[in-house]
Amino acid sequence: MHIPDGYLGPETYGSFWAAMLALLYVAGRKLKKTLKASDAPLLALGAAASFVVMMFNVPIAGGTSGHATGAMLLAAVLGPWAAFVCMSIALAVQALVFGDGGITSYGANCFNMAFAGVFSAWALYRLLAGRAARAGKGKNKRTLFAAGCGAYFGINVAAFLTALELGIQPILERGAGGRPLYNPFPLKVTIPALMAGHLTLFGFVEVAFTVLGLAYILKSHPELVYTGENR
Amino acid sequence: MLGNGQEKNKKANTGKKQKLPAWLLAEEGKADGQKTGFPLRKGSKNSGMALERTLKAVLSFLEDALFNEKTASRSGLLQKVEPRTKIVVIALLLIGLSFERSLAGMSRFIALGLVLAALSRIPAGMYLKRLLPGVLFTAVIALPASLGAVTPGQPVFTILTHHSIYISRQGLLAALGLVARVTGSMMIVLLAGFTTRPPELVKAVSFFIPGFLKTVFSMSYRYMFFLVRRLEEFILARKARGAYHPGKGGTGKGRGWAGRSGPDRKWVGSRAASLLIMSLKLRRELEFAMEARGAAEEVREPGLPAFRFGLYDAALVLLAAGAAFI
Repeated sequence: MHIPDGYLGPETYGSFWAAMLALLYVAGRKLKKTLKASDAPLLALGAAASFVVMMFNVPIAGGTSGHATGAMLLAAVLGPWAAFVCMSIALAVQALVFGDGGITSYGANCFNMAFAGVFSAWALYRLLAGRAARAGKGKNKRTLFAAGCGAYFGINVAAFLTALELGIQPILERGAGGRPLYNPFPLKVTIPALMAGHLTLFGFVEVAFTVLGLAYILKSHPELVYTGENR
Repeated sequence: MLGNGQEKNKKANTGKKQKLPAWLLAEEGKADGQKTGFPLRKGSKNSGMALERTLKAVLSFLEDALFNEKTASRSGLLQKVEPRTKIVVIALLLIGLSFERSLAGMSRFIALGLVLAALSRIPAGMYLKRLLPGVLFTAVIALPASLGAVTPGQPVFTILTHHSIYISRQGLLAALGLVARVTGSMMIVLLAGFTTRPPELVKAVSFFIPGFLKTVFSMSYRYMFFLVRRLEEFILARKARGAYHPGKGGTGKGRGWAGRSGPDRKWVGSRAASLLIMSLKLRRELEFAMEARGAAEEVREPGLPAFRFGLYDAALVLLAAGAAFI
């Protein structure tokens, strides 16, 4: 789902960079209210965990495997704002040090996966889980169901946004003779191409990863699940 | 030769019909964990491949980090440039390339990337190894864009006259443009990674981040390394225990929704959760350690040495600005 450099034109990537800088500023202020200045290592560890979580390949039925973003799992443990910041840092290191993703497209990648992916997953999770996440034992099934739905929704929202950003390039940026300058495929190609894989395959990878990971945490360290009150 | 006592013991043992556990009698690779309780379960081809892929990602991370450290310590052009200045140079080149509209202009950036790589003594093999997967992936993606059905325009080559399937000039230029743009961008980004030690690169970027997140960002890389090593240990421990056999498959029938890869999926979920738990526990330990040292108020992360702007730095900024805006 990472958009590499060269697929998005300056108008698009510039807008997303601006949006992300504003969102990260807001996130920084939000976290500063709840965390102390000495809590910087805590977020750095969260960012490292996010980076490592994205390395896991999850085996799924039919001889395939895929890797999850871990957006819902991170949000369930760290809270949505911290998960957003941690994923943004992990994506930055991936792009900069290892050339995985893009620098110009970093704003868009971050917006799709770290912001929209995390917050859409979190919204559905809280809606479905209600107070179950706070209730702890005996309510785990509902929490896991909510997390699974959130994970599926979150990754598909992120994929849909990616498809939109790629698909509008031929409309926004054209050169001499009408040739596309960046991603050449229109929305009617990018949306089915990205959504088919995510609705049928990668969405379920994310669900399996989130539900199994969260089930383990609920069983072994339920106090670590984020409720908004325990951080 | 066995003594009398030993022979008696042997007879006594066999007489009691003592059975070896089924899992010990089972041939390697034929053990069935579900029926015999054999702890070394046979995984599916799928699950084995997934674990191998995860291990490959871990090893690739470690290898890349180590290789970047090695090339960054070489004496080359970009290695002499201040990391913060290098970030500005890379940003200028990437922005310049993104505004470029002609194939000739994009080729200029690719040529510049090649020259900078050669002057920075980056091994060609490793540069290509990191570059090729992304370039080939883009080439495959871009290929259909050359068809008239996707990008209508002036036909340059007709594939099927009857169905009017042809390659259009506009489509061909769009596909070539995408490949050239992605190649150039990747070449530029890789230059930064190859010529700067990863922790320094992260710290150089954090220089441009204001406030609270600056410290978080500059600290994150070392913890990434720590957790990746833990993940490597998890996988190697699982491999050492023979808990899966890559490439030996099964149908997964009669094993519920999860099939044979179910336990491996569970393992992946539990290990990812373990890493998260580990990081949360480690942060508590860090908090206590910092409090014990009396550093509870603010964390100070050692930054880069004082900013310097020498001849190399100035020359490179001018070169990048020239390439980007002229």
